[in-house]
Amino acid sequence: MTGVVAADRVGLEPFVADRVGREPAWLVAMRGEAAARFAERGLPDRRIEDWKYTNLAALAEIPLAGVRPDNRDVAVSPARALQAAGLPGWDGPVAVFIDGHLAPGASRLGDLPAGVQVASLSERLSDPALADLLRRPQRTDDGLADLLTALATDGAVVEVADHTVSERPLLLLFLSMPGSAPAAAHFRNFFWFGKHSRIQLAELHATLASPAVPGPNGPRSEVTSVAHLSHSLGQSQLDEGAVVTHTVLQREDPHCVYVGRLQAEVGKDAEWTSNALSLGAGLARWDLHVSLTSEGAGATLNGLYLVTDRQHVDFHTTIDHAHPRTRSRELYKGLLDGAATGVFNGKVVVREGAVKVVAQQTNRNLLLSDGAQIHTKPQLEIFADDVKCSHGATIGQLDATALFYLRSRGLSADDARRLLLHAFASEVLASVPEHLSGALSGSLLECLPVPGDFQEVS
Amino acid sequence: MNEASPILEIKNLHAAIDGREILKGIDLCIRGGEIHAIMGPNGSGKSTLAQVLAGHEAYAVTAGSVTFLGQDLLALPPEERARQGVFLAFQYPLEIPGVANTYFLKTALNAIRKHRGLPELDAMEFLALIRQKMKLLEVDPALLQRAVNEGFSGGEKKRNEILQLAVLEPQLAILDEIDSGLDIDALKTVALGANTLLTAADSSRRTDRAMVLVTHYERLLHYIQPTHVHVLYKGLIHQSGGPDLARDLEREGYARFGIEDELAGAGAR
Repeated sequence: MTGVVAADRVGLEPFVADRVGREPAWLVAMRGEAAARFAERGLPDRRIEDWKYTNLAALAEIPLAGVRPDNRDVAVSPARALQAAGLPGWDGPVAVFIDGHLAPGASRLGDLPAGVQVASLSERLSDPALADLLRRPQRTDDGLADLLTALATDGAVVEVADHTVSERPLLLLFLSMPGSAPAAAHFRNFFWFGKHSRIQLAELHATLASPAVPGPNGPRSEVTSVAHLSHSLGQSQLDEGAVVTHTVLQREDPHCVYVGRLQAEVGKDAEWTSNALSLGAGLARWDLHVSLTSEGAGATLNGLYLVTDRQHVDFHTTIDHAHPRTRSRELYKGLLDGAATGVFNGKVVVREGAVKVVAQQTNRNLLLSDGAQIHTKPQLEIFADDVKCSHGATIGQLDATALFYLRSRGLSADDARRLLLHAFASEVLASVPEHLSGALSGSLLECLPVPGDFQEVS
Repeated sequence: MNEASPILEIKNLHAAIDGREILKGIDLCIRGGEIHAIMGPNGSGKSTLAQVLAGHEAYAVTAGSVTFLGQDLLALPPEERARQGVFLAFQYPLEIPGVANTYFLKTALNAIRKHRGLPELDAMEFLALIRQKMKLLEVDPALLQRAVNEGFSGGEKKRNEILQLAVLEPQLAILDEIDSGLDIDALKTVALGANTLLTAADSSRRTDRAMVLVTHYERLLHYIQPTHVHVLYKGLIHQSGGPDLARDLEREGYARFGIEDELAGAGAR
């Protein structure tokens, strides 16, 4: 079968063959099987329901299995990495990954909270526990999953010991460094949260211009001009009673195709809060999958997408209520300007016997131009009685009367507009950890469709 | 009092919404120190007049002129009007979730101060000012931290409008049905705010400010006493007079003026 990119031209087989002897045999075999599956089905295309509105044709110009120069030792200072991620003021611990490889020189790992370990996946392959994790199924089963299995050789491994409580969030920066030719990065991350641990984790995904292509001075120098793919899968496991906030902010450059997948297994009485913020990339596809695997497990999914020009953003979320008395609350908000398009597909599954489940889903969108579009679809699959499930979606425009009200008090049209946009977004930002929200708020506001500085709105 | 210079001059004002003409030739001159009550049955164009003066873009001015302190008011966008000293207290104040009341007020005040060439107030100075105004108007300080009007009761919303009026100190205050939905205590507070705006330090009437009261009911005029009363009907000023006119209206109803008020008694629109 041929999809949007001819499978036989991707070159998975030579890549896999090259891994022989460098990795455990079982892993090379797993890669081989994935390569074979990919040869069968290729990349997902728009004939597949979950890809109805999202076209991966942009990947045709990117060598998906091309081996990228290993940039982990390139002299990138923590300050430069944080600048690229839009967090210049961050003074806490940070782990920097360049194209998925841990870059110790760019990181500040010295003052990680006690009980927290950050390692590089490639250095842990001989660990049997990790082998087990790598074999775990990917919740989204498609050609991209095959690509990831076949091609990802590195990523982050974060372990949080039982009973660890950390007030300070842990920051992970994933920087794309595509260099001068189109390139792809595939990486996978594992997050283990021990029993009754409490921690806030934040991932930032951004593009760092390669030193080989220096830009003009100023912040724009981080913008490259080559097409590139940032493709990652994060797998989280929350043991009993763990309370975790996992924030992911994507602000890649406009030439980036971003595929970000995150799956969480939430254990007994554990609480997972996910904040997914999508600002950058020409095309961003997110797949979030939460399994509430024991009684009392809860998940809160917050999302914000902000797109303009010809950007495209696609969120597919799935919440699987497999057990009784599990809870979920989902709030996704979108601001769409220019000729941008957005997709929100929110699936909630309540399995047979999963009684006393409470699930609530909301998706709100503001279209700021005539050319912007949003496709929103709730998808509730309920096989149990005695559950409380609700969903709602809205698509609207800025309220002209509210704008007039603000202007009638002396605020300029731009200020009034910005204030209303920020107010719209603030409901989602409110759940971003306090230590990060200030910094994030600044970078979010830079991306609002009107210029200016509104640091103290809420 | 009539020697005071005009603050607002409306000449032959016509305005339409969605192609339907609502105002059909209004003439009005308001001088410093004056309080003009615009009365009339529902649908007569009272609120349209208020919105047109504040610059609502949904209304098209099809003829006539409005001069505010010697300049063409209609040429200015709403924010410019506000900065020059026009204030409209909304009949239905908007809820703005996600924007703290205090932030909104400070932003508005500083936009206006900046326009007037005054230094912007910092957080401490603003807090001192707002505390004083809130005390005068008996506004619950907790409302400052809440989002603008979000979940406020009808009375709280109107008090909040008057708090904005007290902070922004406009030269022309237009109060659109400020009395609708208010109990007597809230009405007194609102009146206190309005009267304070027009009162100088020596308790005399300020001649550099003026007020327009749009109202359906005469009750408000017991608390804010007008110098002039106009009856608006079908987009035209039907009759003008002094405070006595409002009393006549209350006693005899609009029928005396040959006006049909089909909604009288049904409450504000």
